[in-house]
Formats: sequence, C-alpha cells, structure tokens
Amino acid sequence: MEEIRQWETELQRFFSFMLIRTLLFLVILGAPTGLFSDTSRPLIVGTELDFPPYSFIDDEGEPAGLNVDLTRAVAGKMGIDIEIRIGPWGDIRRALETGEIDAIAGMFYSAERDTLVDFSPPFAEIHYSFFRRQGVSVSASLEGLRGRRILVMRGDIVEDYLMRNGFADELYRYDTLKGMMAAFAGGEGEFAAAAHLPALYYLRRLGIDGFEPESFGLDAEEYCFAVREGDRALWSDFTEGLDLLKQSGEYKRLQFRWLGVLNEDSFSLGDVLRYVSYILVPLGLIALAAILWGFLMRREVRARTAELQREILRRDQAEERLEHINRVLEAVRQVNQLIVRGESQDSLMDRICTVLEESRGYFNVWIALFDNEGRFREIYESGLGEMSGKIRQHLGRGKLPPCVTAAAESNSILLTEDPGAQCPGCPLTREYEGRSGMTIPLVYGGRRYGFLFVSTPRRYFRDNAEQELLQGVGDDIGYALHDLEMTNLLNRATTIVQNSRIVLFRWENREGWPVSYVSENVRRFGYEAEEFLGGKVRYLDILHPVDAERVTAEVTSALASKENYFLQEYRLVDGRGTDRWVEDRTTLIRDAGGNVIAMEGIVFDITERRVAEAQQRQQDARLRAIIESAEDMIHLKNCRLEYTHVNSAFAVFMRRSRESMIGITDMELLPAGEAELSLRSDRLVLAGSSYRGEATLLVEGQELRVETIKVPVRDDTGEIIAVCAISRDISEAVRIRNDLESALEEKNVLLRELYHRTKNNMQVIASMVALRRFGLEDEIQQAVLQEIEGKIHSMALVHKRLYQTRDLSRLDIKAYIEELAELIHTTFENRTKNIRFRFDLEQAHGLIDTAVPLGLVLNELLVNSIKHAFTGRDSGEILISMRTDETDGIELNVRDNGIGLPEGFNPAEADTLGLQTVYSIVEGQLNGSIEYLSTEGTEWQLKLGSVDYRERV
Amino acid sequence: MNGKGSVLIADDETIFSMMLSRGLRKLGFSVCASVSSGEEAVKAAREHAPDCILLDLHLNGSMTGIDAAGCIRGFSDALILFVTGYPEDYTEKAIEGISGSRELYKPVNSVQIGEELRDMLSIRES
Repeated sequence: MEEIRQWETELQRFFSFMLIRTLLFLVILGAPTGLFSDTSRPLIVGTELDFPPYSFIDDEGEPAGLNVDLTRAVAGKMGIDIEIRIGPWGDIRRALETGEIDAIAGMFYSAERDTLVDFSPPFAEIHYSFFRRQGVSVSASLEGLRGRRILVMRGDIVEDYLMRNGFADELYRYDTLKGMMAAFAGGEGEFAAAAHLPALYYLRRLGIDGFEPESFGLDAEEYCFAVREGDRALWSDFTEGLDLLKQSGEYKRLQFRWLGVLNEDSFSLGDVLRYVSYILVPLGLIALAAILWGFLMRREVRARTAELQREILRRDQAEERLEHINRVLEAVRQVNQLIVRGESQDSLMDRICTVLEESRGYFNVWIALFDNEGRFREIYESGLGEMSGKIRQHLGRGKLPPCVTAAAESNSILLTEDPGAQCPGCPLTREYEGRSGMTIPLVYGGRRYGFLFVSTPRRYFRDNAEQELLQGVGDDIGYALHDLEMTNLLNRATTIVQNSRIVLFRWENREGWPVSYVSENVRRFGYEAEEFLGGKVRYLDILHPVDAERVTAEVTSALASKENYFLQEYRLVDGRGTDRWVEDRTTLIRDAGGNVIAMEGIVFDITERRVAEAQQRQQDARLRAIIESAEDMIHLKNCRLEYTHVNSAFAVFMRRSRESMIGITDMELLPAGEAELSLRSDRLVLAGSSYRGEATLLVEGQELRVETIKVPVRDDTGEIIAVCAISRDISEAVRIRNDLESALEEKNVLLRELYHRTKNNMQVIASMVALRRFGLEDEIQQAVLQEIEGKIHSMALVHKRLYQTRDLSRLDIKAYIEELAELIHTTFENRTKNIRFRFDLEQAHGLIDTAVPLGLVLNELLVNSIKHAFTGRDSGEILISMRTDETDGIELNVRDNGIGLPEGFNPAEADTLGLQTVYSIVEGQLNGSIEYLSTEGTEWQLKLGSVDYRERV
Repeated sequence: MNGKGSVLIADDETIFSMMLSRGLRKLGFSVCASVSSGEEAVKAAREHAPDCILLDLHLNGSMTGIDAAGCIRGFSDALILFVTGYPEDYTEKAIEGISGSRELYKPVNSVQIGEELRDMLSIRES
C-alpha cells in the first residue's frame, strides 16, 4: 500500500505540471525551424507525454520514465549529445515526419509503420488489453466486440489494429490516455482498448473499480526506438547502444526500476486481492520476480536471435556495398590513369566511357561535349548501342534532355531515380526503364565542357559515396578537357609564332629603344631572342646603314606626334650580313598620362615581295614600252567596258588625247552604229571568245578601215577582267588590195581575150590549110594538110578550154581528151564509122604546157590507129584510159584491138616523122616515157612525170 | 556523103566563111550566099530562102546573130546553126529562144558542121 500511495502522490504532482509542460512543448515545437536545421544541434529524441511508466513528466517537471532513462543511457554509451522532448503522441509522430525531431523513444513496431520509420530492436514488450466494466458480458473473442462502443487513443497502435479489423464504427477516439480513462470511468463506452500498464496506472490513479481487462485478439507489442526511414547511422547508434546496455545489465536495472511494481499489479486484480496483499506481497514479489526473470530470459533469447539475423543481413548488405564502392573506386582509378597518360581527346573520352562501363558495371556510360557557345559537338559512349545515334541526333538538333539542363543549372551531379516518371518529354527515357540515371557536369574554371551520364541499377541509387566519387571523376574529366584544350591552343599558338614570318617586338621608350620582348622566330633574321633581351644586340644595330637615319627620324617624329600607329618599310641586315627588306607596323603604348612608354610592333620580311615588285615594275615598264612603241593601236577596257589603257597610236588615230579617253566607253567615243558593233564584240570577248573583224570608222570626215583583234584578259584565277583590243589602220592596205583585185581582174580579162584570139587565129589558120587542101587533087598531099589541120585544131581546143576555166591556167585534161577524140572521130568519119571509142579516164588537171604537147601526141596516136590498125577489119575499138597519181603523175594508155604493128617493127627507131615526134615530145617535153606493147592490137603506154612547170599566169 | 539543101553562111571571119563554103559544097551542100553582117543575113535569108543558115553570134553591123535569127524567124523556118567563138557572150537561154536552132563552138571544121546540118535536116524530114 505504501508503494501505491507513493505513486499516487507522484501522479498528483504529475498532473499539476502536465498542463504547463504541454504548453511549453508546444512553444518549443512552434519555435523557428532554423533552430532545428542547425547541424550542430543536439540529437532531439521525442517521447510520448502521458504513457507512464514509460514516459511522462515527473514532479520536478522533467521528462521521466523508462523511455527517458533508456534514451539517456544509450546516448551516454554512444557519446551522443541528446535532448529529450516530450509531447502528445500525435505531435511527436508528426515532428519525426517533418524532421523536427530525430528519433522517438518508445514506438510500437508494426509492419505498416516499418515502411515509414526504421525500428531498433525492441526494448520492451507491451501488452494491450480491452478493459470492460464488470457486468458487461462479452464472448471472449474480438467478434464479441462488434457493435459495442470502444474507446481508443487517437494514433495508438490498437486503433490501427481495430480499424484493420473493421471496427471503424465502434471507435470513440481520445487524444490522451488519461482523458480516455477518465471518460471511461465516467461511464463513456463499454470498452476501453489501451496498453495494459499505462491504462491500469490511470484507472488506479482515478480510483476506478469494477473493470476487468481482457486481452483477446491482441498480442504483446514490441516497443522500440524509431528513427526516420533511412537514417541508418542513428539507427545503428540506438541498436548498438541498446545492445551494450543489455550486456552491461543496465537495461535490466532500468526495466526493473520502472516496470517491476506495476507488473506485479497486473496479477493482483480486484479489490479482494488488495486486502490479502499484505500477506501475499512479499511472496508474490518473489514469485513474480522469478516469473518475470524467466519471461525476460526467453524474450532476451528471442530478441538476440532476431538481432543476430538482422546483423547478418546488415553485414551482407555492408559487404555488398563495400564491393560496389570498391568497383567504383577501381573505375575512378583507371579513369585517372587514362587522364594522366595524356591521350588525344577522342581516344580519352572513348576509353573513359569504356572503363567506367566495364569496371563499374553501369548499364551504359556516355559523355556529351559542347563547344564554347554551348552547341553540341560530340558524343562518346560505351554500352549505348543503337541509342547513341538517337542521342547524337537529339543533341545535334540543339535539344538538351531535362536532366542536362537541370545539372547545368546546379553545376552538380543530378540524380534521376526514375527517368520514366521524371522526364516524360525526354526521348531517351524508354531506354532507362527500371534504371536510374546520374548526370555529372564536366566543368573546369567556369567553362562547361559537357556532361557525363551513367545509368545504374536503382538499388545503389542513393549511395552517397558513389555520387561523391562520380562528382570527382566529373571534375577530373573537366580538368583533362581543359588541359587538352589549353595544350592544343598553346601548341598551336607556339607553332604559329615559330613558323610565322611575323616577328613580334616590344621596345621600351628609353635611350636606345631597348628590346624588352621579341618572339623566338626572330631567328629568321639570323639572331636569337636572347641577344636582344640581353642587350647584346640593339635593334638600331641591325638597321641597314642607309635606312637607319630615316627610320630613327620617323620613329622620333611618331613619338612626338599624337599618332598611335606607324608603318615603315626599311632594310635590316641579318645575321649573315644580307640585306632584308621588312615592313614594320608599330603601335605606341601609352600610360594613363598619355606618355609613350613602349612600342609594340610586328616586323616581317618583305624582301621577296620587294624583289617581285621590282621585277614586276621592270616587266611592266618593258611591256608598257612595247605597247607604247607599237604602231598598232592597243587599248584595254575593264569589265564595264570603260577604257583603262590606250597607247599613243590609238590616241593619234582617234585624234584625241590619251587622258580624254580613259574612263569613257565606246558609246561616248564612237558614232552610235560603230559603238553598237564594238559593244557587241566586246560582250563576246567578256563571255570568253576572241574576236577578229574589220570596221569602217569616220574620223574627221575621213573613212578609215580598221581591223581589230579582241581577246579576253584573265587574272590568276582565270576570271576575265578586261578586254584587250589591238587594231590596225588598214585603209592603205585595203586600197592596195582593191587595186590588186582590179588588176587581177584586168589580167584575167586580157588573158581570156588572148586565149580567145589565139584560138580564133588558129581557127583561121586551120581554115586556110583546109582551103588549100580542098584545092588539091593529090590524096597524099591532102592527107598531109589534113594532118596539119588536125594538129592546129587540137591546139586550138586547148585554148578554147583554157579561157573557159576559172583560173585561166589549169584545164580539165579528161574533158579535153574526150573532146579531142570526138573531133578526130568526126573528122575521119568515112573511116571511123565502125570504130568505137571507149574512155576510162580519171579526173586530171594540167597546165597549158602539158595539155598542148599531150594533145599533139594523142592526136598522132589516135589518127595512126584509125588509119592503120583496122585495115581489112569491119570494126574495131580504141580504148583510152588515164590514171592519175599525185606523185607519179599521169599514166595514159591508148590501146586498139586492131591488127597491130608489123612483126619486128621498132617504133622507137622508126623512120616516120609522126612517131619520132611522139617520142621526142613525151621524153623531152613531157619528162615522161612511152612504151609500145604488142599484145592484141597496138598498145601505147605513156607515163608522164609530174611536169615542173610553174604557173605563169 | 551527099549534102542536101541550100545553106546560107553568115560569119564576119572571111577565111572561115570561105573554108566553110568550099568544104560544105564538097560535102554536097549548096551554099546560096555568104554574108558578114546580121542585116545582110536577114536580107539573104529572105532572098534565097535557104534550108539551113549558119549564123555566127558575133557579126559585123548592128545586129548580133541572135537578133538576126529573131528577124529571120519572122518569115522563115530555116534550120539555124549558131557557130561562135564567144560562147560566154550569149546565154544559152537566148539561143534556146530560137526554135529549130543548135549551136557549135569554134574551133570547128567543115566536116563537123556538115555532120551537124545533116543530122538536123534528117530530124526535120522524119
């Protein structure tokens, strides 16, 4: 009884302070959140306000109870600075969720709650009971409570339990246990469901009798420390601390201190027991202690087994995590090795992707690089497969996935746990089904080079160690890219300077203008930079003696002027003593006061240019002299067809000054008609053709004939840049040509007339011979005259044909032969009636010198055949054939099918005048040969060599 | 080789005319007159009404052979054989304009002319 009274006294004190403490707690909870976000603040552990003997406010107004003592003991063991906060259960629960407190001391374990918080192994087991008034009958099962009014504490685990079992309609909720039990005592409800010990505590405190606890359907609940879900560090602290307390026996001591007395009460129910307790207390205490001990021992074994299993699980997880981190570390190590090895950018990026993918086991790894303006430049990848093309295309279009944009903004690693849900617009998410992504910006010195992406299994997603390592890798790659860029730039810059013709100088504006900087390529001039910098060589020393004074004067004048820039050309003497022309472009460097402190210049070798220019000038002068001295008129027009150059011959011809023609066009220079013609030919030339033509110009009332050749002028690239025209006054030549033409015509007329008259005269001569012949009786004499007449006639035919020809010199031999044969055939008609002439003649032309003797020869041979070959024959045939050959001349064949010449007759030796004449003419005059062939009849074969007669007319 | 019919010769080259007169007579033609101008030729043609007329294109007087032939055609259908040394002076068309005419170019001999006349006469007869 003493004990109970003591409790009652404590409870009175408790209630008197409770209101104050609640208010105080609310004030603390309402304090600015900044107070709690301070990382150096003590760990705040909350516990329930009215859950004695586990947690409550003691007489001094301080939190007390098993939870409080146990929390402090754990904190003491683990060396944690803590602060206990006590408040209504609902507030405490919310405070843990919002992070205002770090842990709850005393929270029942349930599977549902385990998804929201992490539970330590239980430090107590608490029984729940349904309290009922005596006389309220109930079947001893949960179903017996259906339709009954049941009081519960809001947020209590028993509320969860009843809700789960479909008692929503039966429940009446209270905020505090005390309030609930007071209401129960006052007659509210038929049952009260609550933790056994605390409820008993209040019933007793309120002096309520006539109730009976029932425990059907409810198991003992495990009472634990709870930390926020995922707060493994704190969880470990509580777990390990509890373990240590259990091992040291302190846990048991505390449990006994707070729970010992009341637990005994749970076995002394009802008023009767209170009266017999005086006797039974000591015995009961001993028995209870023994029972409790055994119970606790069993609980301890169970708890230890569970703990051990958890420990094994934890160790497995830790090992797995360790292995995982090791793999990441290995990947990082390899990446760093690659970076240090200093490869080209492409190969480095490719290999980083491969190494990260292979050694870490990422699904894929890719690096996207961007240029200075943030435009996508290149993608490197490993494990992407076909996706790489898609990503390249996407980035190439200037589109950035949302994760890249976000990572760029934060400049730190961006985690995308479920790309499928988080990045709905991104075309890449489909590839990330069930995977997580990390986007790491590659940044160095404020320049963003690009991004590294890795795709990881979700399991390790929230691994801080890996994120830090990847951030580190990102920094390293960023630095490597920076380094590569700098190296490239530096190499390029160095190479440019070394190979440049341009030498950079800086001269200080002091006595002697000492050189304070000169680029290495001053070697081009045969000097070393050190020679200038060390003062061994002064710039003034290398100036050409002839130019030194001028240069010095110009620099001095530039220094005195307000100009900031000057340009000079002068000679330097190089290290080998050779003169080198240079161009010097110097900028004056002024201080704030406007005083020149230095000169910075670029000096470059223009010797070749000077030489080329000199040669060009010489060539130009030579060309100008040639053009100028030419008698022909020469002018150039540009593409707008304005005169740009005219020589003096042209100026003289046009009766104008040279200057007055420059810049004008033909439209202004020439009469409209002529200008139009000239324009037309100029356009042809500008289109790439050349032109040659004659034109008549009216200059000062005089008609002048001009022949002009126009050609396009092209530059080095082949582009037409001008029209060059060369003209010649051909008025005199044209006059002479016209004179010659009329002289020629006159000659032709005269010649034709001459041939005509010759022919007519021959006709007269032949007529006279014929007249004489008609008067003769003697047939032999007649024959002689007829022969002469025929020969004259054959010659006259040549002349007739000659004046019919165009050139009056070469006649058609074929037609002549045919006409001659026809003449002979007609003349000897009484003999030739049955003699047929056949011709097989090729075309041939010959001069009168060939035609006349050939006609005489042919006349002799044909007349001979007609007269003698067919004696005693009825008919016969004479074939005349002619072959011509450019080199061999003419081959003429006269063949009859007559009786032939007498046996043994040698025509070459024959005594007849006719044949002798034939041989003489052929061999002497015609430079040919004649052969007699006696095959069938008579055949004469004439070969006439190419007769070298000059055409005389 | 018997010539038929009478022939009028008009040529300004006397030797050639003489040669033709003799030659044609030897070939059997009767030469009714030999003149040297176009006017004479027209007159003689009217007077003698020859079967054939040899006309040089180039004649003394103001008429050419073509002119004379044109006049003669006004009253006579005698065969006309133009004989000329200047073929290029007259177009073939002008000669063709004279019906029943042919032409021969110098140099020619009497046999060639006789042959031509015979040929013309035989065509006319048939």
